[in-house]
Amino acid sequence: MAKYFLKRIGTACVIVLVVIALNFVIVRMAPGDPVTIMAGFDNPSEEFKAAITAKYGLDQPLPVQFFTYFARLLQGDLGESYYYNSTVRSLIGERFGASLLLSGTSALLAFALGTILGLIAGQKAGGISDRVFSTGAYICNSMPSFWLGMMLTLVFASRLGWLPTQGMYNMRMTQEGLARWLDVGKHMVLPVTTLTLIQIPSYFRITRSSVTQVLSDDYITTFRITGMSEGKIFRKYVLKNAILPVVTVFGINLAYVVAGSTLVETVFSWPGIGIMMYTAISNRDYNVLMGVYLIIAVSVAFFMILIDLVCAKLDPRIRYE
Amino acid sequence: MKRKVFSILFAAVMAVSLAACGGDGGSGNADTADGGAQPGQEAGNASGDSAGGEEQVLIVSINGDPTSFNPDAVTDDNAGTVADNLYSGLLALNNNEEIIPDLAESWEISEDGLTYTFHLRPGVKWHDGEAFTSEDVKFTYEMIIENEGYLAKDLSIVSSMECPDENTIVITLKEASAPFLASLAWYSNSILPKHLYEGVEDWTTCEAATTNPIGTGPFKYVESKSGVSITLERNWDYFGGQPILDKVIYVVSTDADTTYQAFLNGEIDYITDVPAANVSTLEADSAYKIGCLSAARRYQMCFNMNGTYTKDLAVRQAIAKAIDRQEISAKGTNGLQAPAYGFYPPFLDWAYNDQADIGSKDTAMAVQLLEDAGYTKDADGYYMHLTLEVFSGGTYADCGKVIKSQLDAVGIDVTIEELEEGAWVEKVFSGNYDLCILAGMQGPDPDNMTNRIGTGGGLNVSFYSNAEVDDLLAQARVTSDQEERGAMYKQIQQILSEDLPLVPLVEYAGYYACPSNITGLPYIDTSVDELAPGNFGRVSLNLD
Repeated sequence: MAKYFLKRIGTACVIVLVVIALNFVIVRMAPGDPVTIMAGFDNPSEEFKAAITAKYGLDQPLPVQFFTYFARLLQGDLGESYYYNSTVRSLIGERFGASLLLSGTSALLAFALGTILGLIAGQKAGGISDRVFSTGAYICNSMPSFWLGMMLTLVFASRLGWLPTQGMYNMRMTQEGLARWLDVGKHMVLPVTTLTLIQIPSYFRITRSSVTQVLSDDYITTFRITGMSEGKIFRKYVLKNAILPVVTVFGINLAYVVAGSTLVETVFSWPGIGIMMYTAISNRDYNVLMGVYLIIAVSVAFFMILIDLVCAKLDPRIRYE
Repeated sequence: MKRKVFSILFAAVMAVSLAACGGDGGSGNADTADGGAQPGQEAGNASGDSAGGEEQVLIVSINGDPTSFNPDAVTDDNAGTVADNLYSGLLALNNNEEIIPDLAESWEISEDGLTYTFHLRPGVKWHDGEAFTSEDVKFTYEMIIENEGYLAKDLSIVSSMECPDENTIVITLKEASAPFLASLAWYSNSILPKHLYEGVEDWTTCEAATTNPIGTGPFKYVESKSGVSITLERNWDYFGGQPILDKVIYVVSTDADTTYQAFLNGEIDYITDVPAANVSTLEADSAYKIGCLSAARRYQMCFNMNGTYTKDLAVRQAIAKAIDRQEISAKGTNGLQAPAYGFYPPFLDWAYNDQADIGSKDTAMAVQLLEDAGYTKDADGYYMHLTLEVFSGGTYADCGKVIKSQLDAVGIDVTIEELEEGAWVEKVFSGNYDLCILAGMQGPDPDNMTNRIGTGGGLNVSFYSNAEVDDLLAQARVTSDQEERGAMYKQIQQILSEDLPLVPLVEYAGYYACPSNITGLPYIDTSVDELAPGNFGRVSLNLD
């Protein structure tokens, strides 16, 4: 078991290295370059361009740039943003909390709600709650997140005036302490609802279909024949078997929590990583992009291993040798 | 079982709605429940709950974090906007792109156009209480030159700078340059404090450029939160008179439509990017005031002078004849952007030639021009197939569609390629295109043409080169008499109307809005023309 996971960690490291190299090449293959963008559009100065090109070492050959980047990375240095006069690490640090709060909360909520609804619907496939929830899931699944966000804003912020339109804080508020936190909570409601609603269908559908499938298995029928109570069958056997694929999906989703959600963050002006990534793309801020991608890669690698561990725990059939 | 699940669900719903209602009275969102947004009043409520005073706070949207608080080191509109309140220049441009005094209250130019003497306002203080002197101006310009700041190109003609006393700076140029004053007034031109920048290793990462910016502007820096806001407070000692507002808060608001909703809901007081679709709604609503920036900017269609077809004058003439600017304005911009006439924006009377134009649409003539030049229609019925590169966002693509249909009518097929700025620049600047729509500031001085149509100019996307034009541009740059200069620029516009490296389309229009109780925003109350447009020194919320 330990040997297996050491091997997995080794593979993960190799994959992250490959990702670093790929990111390095791909972001530079995109048309447009950071210097032209930074020099401005109306009246670019060649001297200014030369100065920033030299400052960030963009005049070096690509392999040299790569090894410089990689050497700094080994020391834990993600480099500097070309655009913001700040290190990538501090930029990501400033935004990380907000993304985690938003995406993390909605990932948990979607997992909890989607699974619960799936369990209910799966118990009686074709029943009334199944039909209602399945229709709901179809609707949620077919709505683009930015559109749903905008609609929720129009209804709950503009029309009803219950909730703030955007941002994370009420700028006019002067109180500190608890009031601040409640204010953040209030600002979270719409973006969290948006993200939760669009994530629920995947959990719902997986849970529902695995519950339905397990329920039709022979051993369940056997239990029923022996007269075991439905409640016990469900808790002891159905739930345990049906939850495995859901845990896997949850793990994959958690892996991307660190990246935030670009569309929803943009619609709600939520100060997270997603917006920063979007700005970095339009500005060709290579280091910021590579920094974010690297964190995503590490996060994915980490969560994949974690999922394996959790599944081994949940499912006695799984044995790693 | 089922009941348990539902009670969990119910609890979750309750928790969410509690959080929703749990805000305090000061947040004031409930005040706007019926859509009757009254931001000013809301601000009053907020302060009423806490301090009990009539605190005046103006909340302004910006679409991204400023990249630096050293506005001379970057070309970033968000940084520039905040800089208008934090810093002052020697000179500034007002809401009509005219040169106005800022830290310099007056100036003289010697007969030969080589010596500029600026008289600075006496008694100006930096935000940290230090005295501002002519040494700061000299130091700033030297620092810009040394670090290749954006203004360095314009300052490269400076041969010496002297400070005979605290309130006077004399700048001597190597050669006369008529646009010199305008360049000092335009962009990345903030005067920075010598006592904080002297001896620093990097002018973009030092404390004064990041966490503790000190300027001479109407507002002082308080704090900034990445992706959230920048807060400024009143500078009681502002040389332009005490500002009325207690605070200015810039909030980072990334989506134009949500920003607009937040504005309607009273969370933002001043928006600088009203979505075109909402302009007429706001104009009709007496609860709001709206302002428009149009001067010195326009959309124009540039031809690739090296393009397979567009290198042929006859093709360019035919296209110019096929274009109907009124229709582009009406259908492409909803009538918000007026048709553009002539080969330079008309904001400077003395430099604008209203005789040089492409004339009105004449489809028959356009076809005739193509036929005479020997073009024949292919199997699809087209003389040629061209690409048109436009920016994504704004009204570029909509204008492009109208142009496409107009050119279709004369047998020219157009494929529109919508690209975001970085990709557009790469495609167009590499010369791999036929037609493109270009926009941007063409002032503050007509010498801007050097960059746009002069041989090798940075924005000369047409790759246009005409020795006569280059000569005139060079001459006009060193001529000090405005009338004489104007004549040269008018002649250039005449030449452009014959060579047709580009055709004018529509004027630019950027819309700004605030609730009607707010006064003194230069883009909206256009009478405030003695301050830079981003300077909120005269803004008042008029609370009652």
